[in-house]
Amino acid sequence: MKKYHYLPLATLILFLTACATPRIDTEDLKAEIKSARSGHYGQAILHQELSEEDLEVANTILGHLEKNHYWNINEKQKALDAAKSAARHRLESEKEMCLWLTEVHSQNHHKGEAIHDTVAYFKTGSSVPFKTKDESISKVASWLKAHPDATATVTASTDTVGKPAYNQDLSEKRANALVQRLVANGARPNQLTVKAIGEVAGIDNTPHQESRVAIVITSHPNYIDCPNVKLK
Amino acid sequence: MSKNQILAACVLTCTLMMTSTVQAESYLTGFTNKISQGIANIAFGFIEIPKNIINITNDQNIFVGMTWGAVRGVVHGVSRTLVGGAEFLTSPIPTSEFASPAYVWDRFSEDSRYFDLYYPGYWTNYGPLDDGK
Repeated sequence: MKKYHYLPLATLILFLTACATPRIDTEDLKAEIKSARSGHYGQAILHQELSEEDLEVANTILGHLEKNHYWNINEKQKALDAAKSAARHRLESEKEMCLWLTEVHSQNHHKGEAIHDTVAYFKTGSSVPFKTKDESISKVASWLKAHPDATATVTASTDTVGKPAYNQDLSEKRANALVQRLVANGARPNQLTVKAIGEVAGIDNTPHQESRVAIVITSHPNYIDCPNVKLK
Repeated sequence: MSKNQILAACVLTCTLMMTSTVQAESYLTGFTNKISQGIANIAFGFIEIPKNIINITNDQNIFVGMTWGAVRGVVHGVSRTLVGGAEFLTSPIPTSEFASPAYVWDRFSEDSRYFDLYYPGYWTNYGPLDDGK
């Protein structure tokens, strides 16, 4: 190549280099776009948008079919597919919304076992407990206060000393004594069910400490987010 | 004035009085639409030729488009022009649209029909100039 060719060639290379379009890094933009649809809530929105797009297609074609427009193009299958896809995306959106719901309020779900404890002991003929498990009463009452949808049953009984009618009345008084303590510790009256069972079966006129008690049993509602939606 | 003339005048007056304003407006709209469609179809009926070539080329290939599409386009062009003339002439008479689409540039992917009748050999997909939205 002759020397006088070098200069124009170098100029041309320089010119072409100068004209090269700069590439803009889009990784950060992609990450931001991805983060906008991340998580269960983001996915719920994404599926909702996709469902709306599919429905728009289905409705547009429905309009064509009803007005007999584009008669030469068979679009019905496309519309059916779009409508089915819209329904699928709607279901997916609902599932993601349920998962999000569980995510944001799962602390409200009751995971502990039900409490079943004898918390008050009585002497024969007395409705005032001579011994109570204050720690258990406080624990149950606090739990009921924290979970307004939970309930508890207070069961009280008597031994066979005295007449059955008197003992029935006595067991009610014993149960109410425990109810008062639970309420004083934070439980709501409407959460408590009183079950006065009167005399516990046994030999007549026999004092028996195991019968002169009050028991509390908590009940945990079996809470499930969106019970009618199959998540998997 | 004869009795018959008086009777005819009375009947005409009653008819005009019974016709509501809305009906008059809808008649006027139909009349102007028909005139407008008639003139447009007489003037631009030939656009059926490129329309058929473009849509059949997109549906099949360039050779079918340039041959069958051109033939179809000419037939459609003549049909639309004649139908346009008929629309113009019958514009005072209210009827449904003679051509569908009413204007050649409407719904460019829809094969034209006249009086709800179509020609054979039509395309079955959207063309490049119209996606049906």
